Amino acid sequence: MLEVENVTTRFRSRRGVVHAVNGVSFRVGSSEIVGIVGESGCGKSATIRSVLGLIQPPGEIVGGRAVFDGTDLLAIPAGALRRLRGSEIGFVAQNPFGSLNPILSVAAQFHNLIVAHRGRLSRKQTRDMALQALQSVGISGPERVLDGYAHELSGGMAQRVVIGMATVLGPRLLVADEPTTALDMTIQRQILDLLQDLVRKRERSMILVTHDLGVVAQYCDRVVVMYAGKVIETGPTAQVFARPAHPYTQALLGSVPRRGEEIGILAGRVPSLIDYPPGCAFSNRCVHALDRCARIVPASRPVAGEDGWNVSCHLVSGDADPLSREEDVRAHRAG
Amino acid sequence: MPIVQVRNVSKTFYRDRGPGVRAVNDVSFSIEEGETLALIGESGSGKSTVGRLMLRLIEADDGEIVFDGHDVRRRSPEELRRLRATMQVVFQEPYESLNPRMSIGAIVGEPLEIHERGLSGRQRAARVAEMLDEVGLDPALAGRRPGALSGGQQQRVGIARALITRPRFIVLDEPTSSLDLSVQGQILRLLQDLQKRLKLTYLYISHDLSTVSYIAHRVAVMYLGQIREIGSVDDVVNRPQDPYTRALLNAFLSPDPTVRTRDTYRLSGEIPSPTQVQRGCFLYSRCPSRIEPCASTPADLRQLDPGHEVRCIRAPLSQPLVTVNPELRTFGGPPRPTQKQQA
Amino acid sequence: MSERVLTQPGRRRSSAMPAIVRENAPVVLGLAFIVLFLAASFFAPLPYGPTTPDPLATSQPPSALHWFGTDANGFDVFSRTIAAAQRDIPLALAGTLASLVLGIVFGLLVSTKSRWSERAIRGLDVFQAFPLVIIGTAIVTLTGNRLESVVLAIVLLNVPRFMRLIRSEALALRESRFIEAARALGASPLRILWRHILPNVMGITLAQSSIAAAHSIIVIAALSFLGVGVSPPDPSWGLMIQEGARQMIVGDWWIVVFPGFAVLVTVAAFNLVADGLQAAADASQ
Repeated sequence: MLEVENVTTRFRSRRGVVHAVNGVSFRVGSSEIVGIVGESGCGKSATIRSVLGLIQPPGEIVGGRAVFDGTDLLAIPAGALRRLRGSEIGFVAQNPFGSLNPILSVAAQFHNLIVAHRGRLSRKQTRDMALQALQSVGISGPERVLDGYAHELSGGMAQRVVIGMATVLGPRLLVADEPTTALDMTIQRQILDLLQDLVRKRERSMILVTHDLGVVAQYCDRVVVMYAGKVIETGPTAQVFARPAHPYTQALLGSVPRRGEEIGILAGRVPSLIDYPPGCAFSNRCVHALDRCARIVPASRPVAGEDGWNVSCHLVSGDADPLSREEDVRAHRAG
Repeated sequence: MPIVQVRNVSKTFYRDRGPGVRAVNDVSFSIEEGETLALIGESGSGKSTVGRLMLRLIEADDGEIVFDGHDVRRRSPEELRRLRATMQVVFQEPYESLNPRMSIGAIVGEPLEIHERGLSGRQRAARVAEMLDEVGLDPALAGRRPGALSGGQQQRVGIARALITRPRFIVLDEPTSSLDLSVQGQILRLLQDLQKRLKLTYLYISHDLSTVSYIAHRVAVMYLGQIREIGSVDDVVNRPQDPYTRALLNAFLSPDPTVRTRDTYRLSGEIPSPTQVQRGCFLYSRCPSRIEPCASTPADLRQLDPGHEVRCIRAPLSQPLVTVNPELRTFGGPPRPTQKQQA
Repeated sequence: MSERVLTQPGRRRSSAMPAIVRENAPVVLGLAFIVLFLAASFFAPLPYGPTTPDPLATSQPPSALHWFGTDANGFDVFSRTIAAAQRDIPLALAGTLASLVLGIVFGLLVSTKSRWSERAIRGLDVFQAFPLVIIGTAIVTLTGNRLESVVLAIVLLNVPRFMRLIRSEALALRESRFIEAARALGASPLRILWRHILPNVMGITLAQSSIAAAHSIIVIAALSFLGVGVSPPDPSWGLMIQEGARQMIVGDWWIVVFPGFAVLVTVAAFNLVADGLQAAADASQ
């Protein structure tokens, strides 16, 4: 459904060029929920904003492709992409109140959105569509919500309205950027269940950007783990979580607090995205790092025998040359 | 002998117009020396207000707060200031809680300026360096401003400032909720190490079950200003008896994909406004296990087992309502990856 | 790799040094200009006596003899423009400094939400409603016509502005987490004001003081028009501008333009200093 290939995005800043997204590739199959996970500054939001054409100067997409249904989203004019966004691709942001206009009624916002994509329709027609959308996101009493304003809604309700607006035109791909981070735990669960429902029942696909491993584990079929603007591991959630191949994925999963166990400590800091390091971006924090890790960028390669499970690490060498294998083993003994 | 006791404390906030918001409603608990009590709840539950009331950063309307034999609410301003050397707080937003115009050294040294006036500048600097080292910061950072530090480092500064006067009791108000997972781990470990080394007593305020079950000895679950259930982590997490606790645990998302947590026990609707006066049980309007009498009978905390108190009048409920139970015992996640996967 | 990371902080610091110099350059530049101007007004040999008119050379346009021309009374505009700095700059500086100090003290005092501080602010409203002419006249009646009266007028006009500014900033700051942290540490109200609130309102207060200094120049002019402070024939930019403005009708532009330009560059110099100070304060944040 969506194939992102080698997307590279940079931001100009006073201190230099920020390498926010560095050759990110992943794919989203139909009826699939893909989680993009990583810590702050890993480029997960910048990645999906690049794909959706939401990067503004001083940001600039330097290269790559994002093929959605045969169209390269990065190659088509801004107007065409805007038409796709909202109708074919629905977007749900973290803060629902940021997505809603405070001075327009919910009905008016639905009307504007629908008319922008579907051309002249009467208020009555758009209202019917909006009612249906609100019902499908589990809002009881949608009439009252339609005539109300954003500030009258609770956080959970507002996010439901945003999801309703994102899905009213029947998009086939949903992109949700931390859709529940601002919400309470019990509400988070409801919203995620709702999103999952909307994907499964209508054979849509979804990209779920999150920092929460629980969200990925419980809702995503596949996971894309990002670090310093790169995808370092991607694969089926169950496999990746059970046997993480990349040392960063291992460290991240090891940071989850568990009662009666020591928390794994990941020392050091993410490298500067301005002075982007040569070689593997994680090598300065990696306990297994070899000499070449700091010099040579590891290519993404399949983890042995697993379909669609790829990792970018010199230490995981499915079919690597025997010499490096030996080196790995030595490193392990030393570590 | 508990080091802190909170007895029947209440607080209502009044706005310019309209009815008051009863943020904390007759809350009582105690914390033993060296123990961590977690207050868990969603936004609006009053958990942060309890922490501030205990330190008298805001004044309680009613009740008693006894810290180390002193009734905190009855101390004179001067006595209270002296008492503050022994009870401290670490806030949620590390950056906002540090004065941007002060150096790290000045921030961490300020409590000494206030409480140990006899120290010379050099002695103070030495204590600051020692403290920074203790929380895992390079003492050379003393000359930097907070803005030059990462979130994790800023929170370490906040912890150093709280600990430099050697307090005995610390309120931790969501100390890791704005931090990344890997940084959160570092801070939690640090807090745990410090507790053991310095015999600290913690009130750990959080909405996050996984950190609570990691760091706490006992848990109090709050909802609409009331404690719904209080007991050991084992009791509350593994044998929850209050419907609210159950719903909260049920909403927890396990980071282990092989454990399918299902949101089967769910409260209806959203948190009602705390201005609405409710007769009977506060959870009545949302509770899936409610019965007739819940609407009118006030639900009071009562002891179920020693040290395990519950508000629900139906407790103990016979049927185990939390389907994710086996998972919650350890909270979590896949088996810790010990070795790198061999290809 | 690990070496790279270790050297980074050092590299950053060395590159930060020129940044601090760069941020302080406007301060140095502005101060240098003001000091030079002041020194020139006292010590520079002027082509003509600033208070001795030449009745034979009235309303002359700029020439090799009279660089900035002469006014209707035959005063040399160049000499007067330079000499006016003697009074105008010290008066403006003294007034602004006094306003700054008093404004900070009173501003911090009323920076609570208590009832009496709200009353004090309401009192200011009434006071600020009086126009400058009335205040000026009142001062002269009360204190007599002295240079100190000018300073007093500047103070009376500016202190309420500083108070309001500091109060509104401080009230916002009081809600911040680090003030709560300071209270939790046991910091006294005085310490909170001095160590936590004051440093955080200084930046904006300094910016305001540059505006106040610029405004003072204009106040001095307005007061001398009322006969307060600098009185003719002593030169003052404000007086020169007012007199020159009348001559504009007959096309004698030079009488008003040159003192006007002097005011402009002096105000710009004050602004440079204030901006530089604020930038330096922000950079240290």
